[in-house]
Amino acid sequence: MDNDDSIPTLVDETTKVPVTILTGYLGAGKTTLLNYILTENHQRRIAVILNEFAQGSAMEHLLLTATTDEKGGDGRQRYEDWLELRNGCLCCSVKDVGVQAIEQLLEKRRNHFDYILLETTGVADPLPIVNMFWLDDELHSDLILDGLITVIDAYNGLKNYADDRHQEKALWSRQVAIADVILVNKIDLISQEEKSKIIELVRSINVTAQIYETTRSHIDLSLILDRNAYSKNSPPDYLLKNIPDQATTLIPHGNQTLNSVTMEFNGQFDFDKLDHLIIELLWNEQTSEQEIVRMKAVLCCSDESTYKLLQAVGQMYEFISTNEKHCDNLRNCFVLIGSNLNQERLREQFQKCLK
Amino acid sequence: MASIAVEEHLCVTPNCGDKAKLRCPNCVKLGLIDGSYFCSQDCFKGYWQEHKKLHTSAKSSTSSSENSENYNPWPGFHFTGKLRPYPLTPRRLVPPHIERPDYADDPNGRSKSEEGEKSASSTIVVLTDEQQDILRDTCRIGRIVLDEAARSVRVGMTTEEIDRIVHECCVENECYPSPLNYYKFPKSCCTSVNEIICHGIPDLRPLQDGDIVNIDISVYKHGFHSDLNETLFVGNVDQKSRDLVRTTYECLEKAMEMIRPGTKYRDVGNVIQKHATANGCSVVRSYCGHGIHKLFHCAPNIPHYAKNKAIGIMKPGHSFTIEPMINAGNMTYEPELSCNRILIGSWRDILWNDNWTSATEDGQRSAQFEHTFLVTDTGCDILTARSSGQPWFMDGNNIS
Repeated sequence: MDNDDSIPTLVDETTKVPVTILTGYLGAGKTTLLNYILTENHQRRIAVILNEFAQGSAMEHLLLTATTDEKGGDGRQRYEDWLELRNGCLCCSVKDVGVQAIEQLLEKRRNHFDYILLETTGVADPLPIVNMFWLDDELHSDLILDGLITVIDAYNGLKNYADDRHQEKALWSRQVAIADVILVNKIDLISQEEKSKIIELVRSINVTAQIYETTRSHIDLSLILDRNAYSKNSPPDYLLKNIPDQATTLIPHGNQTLNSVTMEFNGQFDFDKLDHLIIELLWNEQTSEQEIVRMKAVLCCSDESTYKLLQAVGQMYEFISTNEKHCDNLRNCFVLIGSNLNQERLREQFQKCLK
Repeated sequence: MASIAVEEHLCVTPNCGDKAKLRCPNCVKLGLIDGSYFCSQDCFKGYWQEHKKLHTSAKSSTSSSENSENYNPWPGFHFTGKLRPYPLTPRRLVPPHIERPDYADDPNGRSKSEEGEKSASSTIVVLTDEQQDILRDTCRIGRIVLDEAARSVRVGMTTEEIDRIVHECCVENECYPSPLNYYKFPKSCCTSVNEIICHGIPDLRPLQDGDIVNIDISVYKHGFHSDLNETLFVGNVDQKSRDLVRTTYECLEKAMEMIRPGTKYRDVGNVIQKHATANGCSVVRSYCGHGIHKLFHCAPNIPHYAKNKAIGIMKPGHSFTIEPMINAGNMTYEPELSCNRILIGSWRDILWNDNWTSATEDGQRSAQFEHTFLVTDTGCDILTARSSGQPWFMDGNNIS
């Protein structure tokens, strides 16, 4: 407890602490990246949480590693701590127990961290973890989901992808599909031709992620942190830039493969019809082979004069109103990432929702 | 006299009164809300000498007993209201011939079936006709148990007594009290008094004249669970508490009106929060309604607050609970404006060191009501309804 004679600094409870989730196969370079983050002198106070973070599993602890910036000190001290998971009420609780543990960390050490990096196990589907951290605004959590970073091993990447075992291919693809930033690591170990192939593959799966080629996971932190991928303040034009139409670049593959589809429309949408369609596409349990894992859109609806954004991860989605008027520029752009996407049918379905 | 409902805080420095979003970190640690907001660091510095007295008095009052109750198993813990935990009695046993849920015998009270379900899809189960009938019966028994407990409530009775009655009634009806050992919950029902939002553990504290108490019952029979709760009056309850309880019940009623095929689960919270706010109350965010059948808690997740991203649409055969927890607000009279200003009660909750009991952050009272519902082709069946159709607090006979 602080000495009551020294006046403490007021705490702003309205600023949120961003949480970036990091995934990737074992050996891809995640640990190297994390060590780099912990040791590099980057003026940030980042807490790294290492763990076999899987949804629904009642683990005992999460390991927290962070660097402290001692006031006036030059070295960066590293300390480790265990975050205890409250094993009381898992029932009817809105937040996952892991999310609560991290919030408690912030409660105790609010003034110590301004960023959280969460490493997940490379063998888990990142989708439920992203959903876990994509909290409703009304919860007024200290945390805000910033984005998902996937590190892939360029050297083994194509092999990982071509691997016969269904599960493996699907998982690797999902980690790429849901990412906001992809680090194609170990780029120094492969030829120019292999590099083109792997990047083309990654691009075909995820058309909107930022892709960076890295060696030994070295990357300017400002490129991977503060992505604001789930922010309500993303500028509407980020999607309206020219995104190459992916329909033609199909890499032959079997079932369960993921790819991106981009669609543009002119006009205004009937919001209710569109909402209904989104629900049909995302919530209709197993009525078709098609699965949409990620969706982003900028659109114009007839009920508002400003652009609306759409964010969807798995079955969770929301529409966000913006302050930017669309005026006469009634352009709409949708990006869908998923498996067995029937582009023609999708286009028809969206078309029907236009006024 | 008009009232303004307000959610923001104003700087507490005298003669300031500007909008305040910054808080004193010492107050945060002590759990103090009133008096902790400031508009700027400068304003705060200026008032520091006077303000820090709040910390000293808060630290000392946790050990004093100004109307608060004495037993304190956690020295140094800052309680937000007057309620204190009392000692517990030994764990009760359920006779072995009664069917037990999987967590009953797990050393950590973990439910493997529920955890397995969580990592699978969040598909909402549609019950067959046969399963619906089984659930109906389990809910009917849940209601019998709650009525038995409610009937017995009187001033001076301990919540531990209520638990005994609940436990014995379950055994009599050949069902397992679902809360017992669920993630190590030590008792057979939850009793939440006054500022306790939910999951209060029955103990040796006697109910006092003027208390409100929520009794939350869940029973397990034929392999299915049921879940219901009601807030009751103990003796002579003040008007503010009566209003709170009535508002809370109305929130549940309004939510009930929208249960039919096609309603989105995420819309339930919009209706509840609107009604709560209109009555100067706030909605607890941390706990939500949930699917219930063979599993105690499963999909769907139904938050009670507005603008949530809950997944799913109601279909015939879905079974779930809606259980809004509503907190009373703070009202102050603004003389310059000649009206009441309501600080819409803090919706935040604080967990006690027993890892279960959830209390309001500002110490104001909280009420709750819950039913288990089954969606039908045209609407819903309220499986845990009382035969009279009316909750106990409306019966009018003040239990004394």
